[in-house]
Amino acid sequence: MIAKENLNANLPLTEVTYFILLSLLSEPRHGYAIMKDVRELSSSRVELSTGTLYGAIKRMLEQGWILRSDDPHASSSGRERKFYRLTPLGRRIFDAEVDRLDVLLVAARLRQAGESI
Amino acid sequence: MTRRCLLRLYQALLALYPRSYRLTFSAEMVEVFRQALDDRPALWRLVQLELFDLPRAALKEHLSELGANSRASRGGLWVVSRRELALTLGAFAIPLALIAWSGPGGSLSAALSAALPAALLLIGLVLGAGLLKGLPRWCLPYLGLALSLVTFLVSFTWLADLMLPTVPPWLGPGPHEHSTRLLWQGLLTGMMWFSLFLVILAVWLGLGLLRRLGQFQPSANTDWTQVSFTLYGGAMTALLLLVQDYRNSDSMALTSLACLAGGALLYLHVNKPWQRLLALSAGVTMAMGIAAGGMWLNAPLQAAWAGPWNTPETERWFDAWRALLVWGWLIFFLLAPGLLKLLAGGQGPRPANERVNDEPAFC
Repeated sequence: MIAKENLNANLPLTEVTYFILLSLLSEPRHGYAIMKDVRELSSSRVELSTGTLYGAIKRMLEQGWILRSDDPHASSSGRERKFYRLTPLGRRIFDAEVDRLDVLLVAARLRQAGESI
Repeated sequence: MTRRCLLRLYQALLALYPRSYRLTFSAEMVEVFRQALDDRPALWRLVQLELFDLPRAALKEHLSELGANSRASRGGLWVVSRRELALTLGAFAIPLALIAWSGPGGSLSAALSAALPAALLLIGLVLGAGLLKGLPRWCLPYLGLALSLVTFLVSFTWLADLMLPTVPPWLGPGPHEHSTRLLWQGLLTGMMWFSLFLVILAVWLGLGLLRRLGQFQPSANTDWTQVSFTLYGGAMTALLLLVQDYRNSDSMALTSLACLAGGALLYLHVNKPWQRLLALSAGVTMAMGIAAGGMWLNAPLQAAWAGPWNTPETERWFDAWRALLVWGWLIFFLLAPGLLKLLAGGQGPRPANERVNDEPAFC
């Protein structure tokens, strides 16, 4: 089990990494599906190019946050498709980032409401 | 521009990525781009996003790969600790101490002669410490410096006195034409470096007889550049001898020594034998270039020497050529261990990952 200090060493996540992990939270996806999902999740604010997407995927694969596998239902044209899914470590990293963002958000809301933290 | 042309352009631009990255991801990226082309009505937006971002992303991957390679080499055979760096640089600080000892405007040659007992002491200390540690790389420039002081100032003088009676009068020291003087200087310099090379080889072979030397000799068998690195230490003595009689010799020597130290630092950091040799050659070339340039500029400031062939203009040309001769011989003898290995039909250095166990213990 990775200690919390080691998880926090990877934070904060970049926006691109955050949204890719968020996209994979519900189900494994292939590259184009991740691109479309990220655009939807961010309300078109974050648009990934293939270069940015696969650069982030490469780093997350190296860090063991996601896994890559062949598409069991390859398209009829036989084109190359790989699927990506979150690993338990990737899930813990994402949860740690959400916790971090939670703390920031709670502090901001309280201060905005004029209450003490 | 049609979708087909855009796809072909995209495929061509993927060549900007590192090879390993392309092998892993390029097919997928092409497929994703194809799907994006089919889905997106606004082609210009897609082109703007993809094609302008691709070179930036490719550069980032190249830099990432360079960093990973650098980390891998740091984790491999040629780990360079700060201690090793400091100890190696210490060798280049010794001539600086000599310059300081001679004082401003003082005689470097007198300082060099006076340093001989200290050089002998240094040989003993370095060999002792080196033997205990299995002759690590940091002690090799010390060894080269100390052996060169002994060789150039003692044994060579003895050799020269022995050989001088056999040298024809038209070639030996004395008032001659430029070309003859240069030929004599060339032979003299060659003999100096040859004698140092023989001494270093003799020391290395002699050390191989001791049991502890088994740690050094095998690594020198697989990494002949360590013999070159030892010779490199002798370049410091050659440099000081070259500029010793000149005004402003302190600043010339200081700058040249900095170049030699830079070459040594680069040698420690690179992995491949040809890279190490290039590092040493670059250090020597810059050092001798600065010395030659300095002598060229300072020759007119020298006190007039006796003889019609000692005009400042002829002397500046002569000394510049002399620096070139020293450089040429030094480069030749730096390469010599590799040439000997090739001629002996050696296997050549094994890849770094096979040499881990042969390496002497580092400090």
